[in-house]
Amino acid sequence: MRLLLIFISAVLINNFVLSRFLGICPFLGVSKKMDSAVGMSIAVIFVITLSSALTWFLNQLLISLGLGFLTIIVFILVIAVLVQFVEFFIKKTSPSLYQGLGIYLPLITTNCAVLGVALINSQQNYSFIESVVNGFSSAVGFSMALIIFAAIRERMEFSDVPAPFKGTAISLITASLLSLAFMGFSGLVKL
Amino acid sequence: MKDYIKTGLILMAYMVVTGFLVALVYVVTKPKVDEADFRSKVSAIESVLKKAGTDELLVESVPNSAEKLNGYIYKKAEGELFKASNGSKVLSPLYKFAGKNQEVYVITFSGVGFGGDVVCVGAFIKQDGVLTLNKIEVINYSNETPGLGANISLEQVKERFSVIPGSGLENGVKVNKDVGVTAQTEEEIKYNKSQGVVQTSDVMTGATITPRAVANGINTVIEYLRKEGEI
Amino acid sequence: MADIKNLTKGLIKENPLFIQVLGTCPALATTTNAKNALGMGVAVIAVLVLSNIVISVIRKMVPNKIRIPIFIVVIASFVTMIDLLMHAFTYDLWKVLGIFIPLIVVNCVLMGRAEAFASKNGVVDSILDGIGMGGGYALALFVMGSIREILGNGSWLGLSFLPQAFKMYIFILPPGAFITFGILIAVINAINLRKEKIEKEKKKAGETK
Repeated sequence: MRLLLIFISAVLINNFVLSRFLGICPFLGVSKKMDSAVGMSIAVIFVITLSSALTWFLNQLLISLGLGFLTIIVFILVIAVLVQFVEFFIKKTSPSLYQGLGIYLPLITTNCAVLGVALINSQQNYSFIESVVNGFSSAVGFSMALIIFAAIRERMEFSDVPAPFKGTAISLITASLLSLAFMGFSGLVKL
Repeated sequence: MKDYIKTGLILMAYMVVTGFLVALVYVVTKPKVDEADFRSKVSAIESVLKKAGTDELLVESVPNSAEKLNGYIYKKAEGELFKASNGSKVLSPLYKFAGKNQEVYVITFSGVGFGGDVVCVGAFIKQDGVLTLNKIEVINYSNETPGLGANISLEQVKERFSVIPGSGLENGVKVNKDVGVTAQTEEEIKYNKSQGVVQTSDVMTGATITPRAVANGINTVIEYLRKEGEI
Repeated sequence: MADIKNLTKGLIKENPLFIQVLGTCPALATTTNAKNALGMGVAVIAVLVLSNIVISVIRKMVPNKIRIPIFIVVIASFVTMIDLLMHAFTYDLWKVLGIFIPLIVVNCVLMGRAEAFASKNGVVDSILDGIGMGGGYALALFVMGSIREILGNGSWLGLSFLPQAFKMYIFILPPGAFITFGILIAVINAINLRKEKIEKEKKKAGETK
């Protein structure tokens, strides 16, 4: 039951992008087209779920060795390596997706969401299962926000946006409305 | 192959050097870090150990080091000490101080608020077998809405939870909105408190969930103390 | 002098937050008031300058293939050090900024400057670049934090000056962050567009002469 609550909480209530502000760069950068948004989502879910599992083990190891202060360095290196592997994997299995994602794939490394999830898991002292579920759910929340946003942006291409607002500015204002809508989910679940 | 080994070794060399430097900074700052952590923990405890509305301490002195503070631990557990069905918790560790012919429990508890747990520290005085709540400090309310629930940290709101007499605690603490009364004068507020009704609707307009979380937390503390045979 | 340009370009022309749109996550999360925003900004300047120095010093000794992991290691270690120092000496600010201090590691401003500048320029220039870009970022954060605090809490740097009724709490909440950021970018775009228009007209006037 608790796992289901963690899932709902991460996806709707403390949505990674819209209320925790993690993962904004790809959120703004990859949401122009639906295809790249979906592709990015799949890659992010994969990377974050795997990294949640990996970083949990490393965190336990570091703490038991009294080297807790090395967490940041170890986590980010692991994430960088993981992203390299995923990049390699996608290149082999789906070259078109690889092309579509372009530079955004290696940029998953600097996606605050990936490192953020790992840090949150260690801070909240989640168990292994809880960490992986939290990671997976946060990534789903990120993807949901990303895909909704991409759908809106694709529509906005046909709208008459005033010149200063074109591009990033109007996207941010749209994001704020989306964030406002998601605020309605607060208090939905009592964890 | 030799190339890979060479680059691998260079990378390892950098990691070892940086790891060593970071470890150095860690060792140098550790005493200061521990001190800062301790001071933040003890400032809330010191505040609730003061008689409500005054600067007078209920006990001889407040511990000034982590070891001394640990000497006052009365109960502790791996996770939380107790969890109620509504999600409120009594957290570990629980301290007990000896005061002037009374015992003071300093208890960390939480209730389920708007966006997460609202964590408080409270000093409960046990004198002649009767328990009263002296004062609370709210130490974590970061998930509550600024301007609404977050106002739980204001002095005038916390003060409403101070000095709840034994009769009030026995009845069960509730916020006035949940009981449907609104006191008009200071005497009425005080009387309601003796019945367990805490007036928050005038100092925290538009926010009931957060003070209710605190009330639930206090009730859970009473439930726990009863279960442990303390009262 | 070409050197000074490195210092000033980061402040306005190539402002990391408003022009390059880098480092957006902390910009939204830590700008609920001016003081926290400034604290975050200063932390970023510190890490940026330190990592720029080191990366510039080792730039000729780093094999190209593994330069990214090495930059990561350098940046991450300075972030860890700053995190420890803040935990020890600025506890309240440290508590408020929370996980966004470790997240400085993935702040694109740092990796961006390491890759684009520090790995290709001398130490003095890299220091100036670090101060300039970091300063521009801190300035941008401070502006956002001030706006959100003034509108959302009627105070600035902790000093209240507006009565309760004027506080628009939405600005302290997530949607407010997005709106403030969006409007600021729109304002800057508008200024730049006008500048371009004036320049174009000047050129036209110059041609018809």
